[in-house]
Amino acid sequence: MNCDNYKEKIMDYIDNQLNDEDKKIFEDQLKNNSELKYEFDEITELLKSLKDLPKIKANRDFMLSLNHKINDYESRQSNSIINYIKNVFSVINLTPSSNTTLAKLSLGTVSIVLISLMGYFAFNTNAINQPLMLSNSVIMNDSIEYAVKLDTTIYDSIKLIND
Amino acid sequence: MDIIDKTVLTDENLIANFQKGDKDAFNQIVMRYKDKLTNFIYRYTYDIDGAEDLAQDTLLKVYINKDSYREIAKFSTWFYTIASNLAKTELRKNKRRQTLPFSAVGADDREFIASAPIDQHEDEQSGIRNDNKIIHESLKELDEEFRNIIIFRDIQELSYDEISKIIQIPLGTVKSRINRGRLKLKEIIKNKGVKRY
Repeated sequence: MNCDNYKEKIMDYIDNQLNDEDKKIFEDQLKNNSELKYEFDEITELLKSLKDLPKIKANRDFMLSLNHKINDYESRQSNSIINYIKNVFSVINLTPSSNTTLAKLSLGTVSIVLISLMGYFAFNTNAINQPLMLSNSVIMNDSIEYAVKLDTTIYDSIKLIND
Repeated sequence: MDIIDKTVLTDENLIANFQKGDKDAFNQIVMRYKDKLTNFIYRYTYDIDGAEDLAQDTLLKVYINKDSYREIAKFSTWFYTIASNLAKTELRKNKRRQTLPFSAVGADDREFIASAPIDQHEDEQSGIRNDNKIIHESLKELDEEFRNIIIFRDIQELSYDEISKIIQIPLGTVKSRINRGRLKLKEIIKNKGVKRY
């Protein structure tokens, strides 16, 4: 066995990379070859020293600091959503002065969208499978009819008083 | 509802639970890895305060990018890849710095400074401490290609296969670098006069 070869065999043996037969051959050589044994002891001593190096432990406030970082990240994320909405408004030449104004504008936009959708379903009599919206439609038609009647009554009353 | 003991779950189970929104699973990952990770980064960068900061950054990346993990790889492989990339970047930054602050003195150095015997008498304990310091310093002198592989194999105790995936080199190269790295490290330590070598 040449020098490089036996050094490689030492590493293979240590890392459990030899099959049973090679392992047995290596162990026999280790008993009979003092040079091999010396090299083997040096390497195992080195690996033991590396494993025995003092283990650095994280501080007790590790979790706390990590939580701060996570919270910072999440608040940056939510700010970036607000900034995105701000950018959208700036594109259409609206310049909200504060986040409260911005929130109001966002709420207004969402409300308009919702009202439009409700209107679509309420008056679209062709829509199928929309029992709730259809009944809403009936209620709305009744309400309009009632309002017109009320309006006429008020108009007649005012006219009577004036006469 | 069954109460599951999260300490018995595998890393892969924990990250899968976290992907489904279980934040306790993430906390369990943190508890499992915070010391190992800090130790690994410290051995890589030689900056104890920075190591903890980078360990937190690694876990923050896991938190943010949890959905990019797929169970085709072991969790530890994915995790150490993130940590090793961050450590590598930090090491490059450190190399550019001209002077090191006191906080960058390694833990072994701190321990060494704090507990140096007044009468110069070297007892067994301080001898071992001194040897540890030399081993730590010798690791620093190894080329990066050998150092990271020795840290992965002989300190973090990762398998050849995991190391191959993390560093993205063939298995045969991992093996030969481990062998050469160990022999080089042994020589460096020997030249520094450690008695055991």
